[in-house]
Amino acid sequence: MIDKIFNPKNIAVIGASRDPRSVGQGILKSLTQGCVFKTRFCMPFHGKIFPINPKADTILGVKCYQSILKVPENVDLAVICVPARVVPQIMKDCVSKGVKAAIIISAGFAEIKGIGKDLQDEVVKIAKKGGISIVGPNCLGVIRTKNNMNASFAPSMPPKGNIAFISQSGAVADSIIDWSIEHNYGFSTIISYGNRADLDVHNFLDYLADDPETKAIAIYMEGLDDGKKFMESAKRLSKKKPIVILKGGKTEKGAKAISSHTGSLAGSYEIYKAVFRQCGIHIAENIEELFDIAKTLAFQPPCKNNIAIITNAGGAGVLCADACDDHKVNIIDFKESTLKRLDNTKKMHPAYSRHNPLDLVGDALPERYKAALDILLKEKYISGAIVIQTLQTMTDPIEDAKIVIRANKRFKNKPIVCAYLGGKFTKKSIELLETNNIPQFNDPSKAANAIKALVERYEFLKK
Amino acid sequence: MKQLSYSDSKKLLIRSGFKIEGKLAINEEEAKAITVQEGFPIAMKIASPDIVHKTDADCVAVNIQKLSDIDINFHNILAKARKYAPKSELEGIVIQKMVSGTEIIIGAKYDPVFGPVVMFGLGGIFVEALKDVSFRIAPFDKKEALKMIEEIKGIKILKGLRGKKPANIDSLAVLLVKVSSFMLKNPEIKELDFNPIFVDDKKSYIVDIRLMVEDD
Repeated sequence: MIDKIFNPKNIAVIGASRDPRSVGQGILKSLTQGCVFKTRFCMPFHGKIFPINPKADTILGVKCYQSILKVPENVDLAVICVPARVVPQIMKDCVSKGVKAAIIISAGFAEIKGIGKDLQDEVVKIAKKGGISIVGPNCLGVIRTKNNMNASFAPSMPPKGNIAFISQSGAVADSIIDWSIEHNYGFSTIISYGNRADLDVHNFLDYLADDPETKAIAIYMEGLDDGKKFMESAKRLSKKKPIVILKGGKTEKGAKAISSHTGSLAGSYEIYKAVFRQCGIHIAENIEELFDIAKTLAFQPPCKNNIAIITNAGGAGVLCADACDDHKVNIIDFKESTLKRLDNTKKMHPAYSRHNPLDLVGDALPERYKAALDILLKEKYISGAIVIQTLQTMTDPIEDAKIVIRANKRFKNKPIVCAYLGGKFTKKSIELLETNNIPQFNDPSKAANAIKALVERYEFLKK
Repeated sequence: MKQLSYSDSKKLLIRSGFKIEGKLAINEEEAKAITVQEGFPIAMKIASPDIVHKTDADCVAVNIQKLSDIDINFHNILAKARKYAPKSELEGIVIQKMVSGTEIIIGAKYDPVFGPVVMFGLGGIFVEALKDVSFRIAPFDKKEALKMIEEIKGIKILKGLRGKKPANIDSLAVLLVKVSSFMLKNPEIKELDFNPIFVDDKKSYIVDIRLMVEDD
């Protein structure tokens, strides 16, 4: 049962260990304490944990059992980190116990072909017969923030939030967790799926479609086995929730002399890109972009391609407009009536740019940003805004952030993306924006890229 | 992989609703008869499952304006084919009226993960040097086919540059959808090339075909 992966009432750790540097202890700690590297986001799993180790009575102060069959209560989920050759027997025990789901952390399966592949097939056969859903093997584990479940040997627990991350690489997932703690980027779920012997990407997509905690899905993948099932699930899901993908892996070379043109041109990455486009999935070029766009799509509404840039720095406005042009984001011309409305606020600088990008001039105070946002977002022909701020002696970043947040709440159907440029003295205002789910970037071109994703999503959903 | 013979390829494609330009002639008499039917100018190409790149093999003659040139070209192409690939099965020579328009390439390939993948692009140097192509996974509808066409960088050429009439893009979209269905219905076809297709403001012409199947 896939639900028991994400919402188990209790968990057995098979292979829990007294060795503090082992995977077996790392996972136990992750579950009983929230994490090994402690932060304010760490909380113990809210259900019961049963360490299983034939040679210990207690580990980390928790009562230990010699076998899962000796546990006096029901066990929903088993996290398995014993050596691969032992796993088939363990799986048989789990079936007898009535376990519903298993995460197999252990390596030594199909990734080494030969014996490994046979072992994996055997384990899957036993599990399927016994009605157990498997994540892995050879994976980092699964994190579900809502119930404080860190069933993995990742270093720590990320902040709670609404992005789900599905990763073919455990290492990428690990580094993201550390990064997310630094940047307060919240996740609903992190899944490292390993060898996908049983549950595959499309199964997770189907599950996350109905998960109320998840607003957007980020995926790192290198390759698929069942492309058709992936496309079906992805198409279905992306109509409901945005999906962003970072595809890793080499392009296949090897055009045979006898092959047709198509044969030699249809390289692996080109085909995957076509698949993603057809399914309405956004394609990211690197890790940073993957999570920037996931967050943008999760919290800001998709919009028509008519964007206003508001800035207190002409140069930054130009850079942003250039980037928008590159990304085919339409910086729409302001109508005369709009300029008149701006004039009538009496808040504009006499030398403000009477066109889009709207340059409020360097001495812009919060009330000028407010006036501009209120007027522009009210216009029917303007569908979204990029707000740029640079720091001068009179600039008030916190107040400027509050104005953006209020405007975002007031104009619910129009996205706002920020480029508050700076570092030390804008830090608090940036945190404020991020806590309120306003996408914020340290470069105007990234803001343009984020708006582009929203415009593309609008186009996709329009169909 | 090996190429299906021209006759088998054409038969299968016609049965699936495609119109292929030209006819196969197995001797000079047939060649002249077809020429009269088709009209000038004429192109002549070798038909052989063993010769995949006809231009490389120098087995194509174009711009033939007179009936009296048919025999000599027929003879020459066969001779060059025999020299280029002495063991090849030569079916005959395809005779077709030359068409003009914008050169297009439509292809398809069976991908082990996703099934048939269809490719669209402008032909000639656009595909050879610039790789200006777009892809979609079968099946897809006409709307998606139109999106696929719009994706190529050279789209302005199709829409009509410098006073040229816009090409019948609709006919290309219909062709793409047909190719996607064809590949799904005929899984033994591993690769397909319609190269070139010529499209003018009225319709599309499939001028050359290549179907590949697995070597058994």
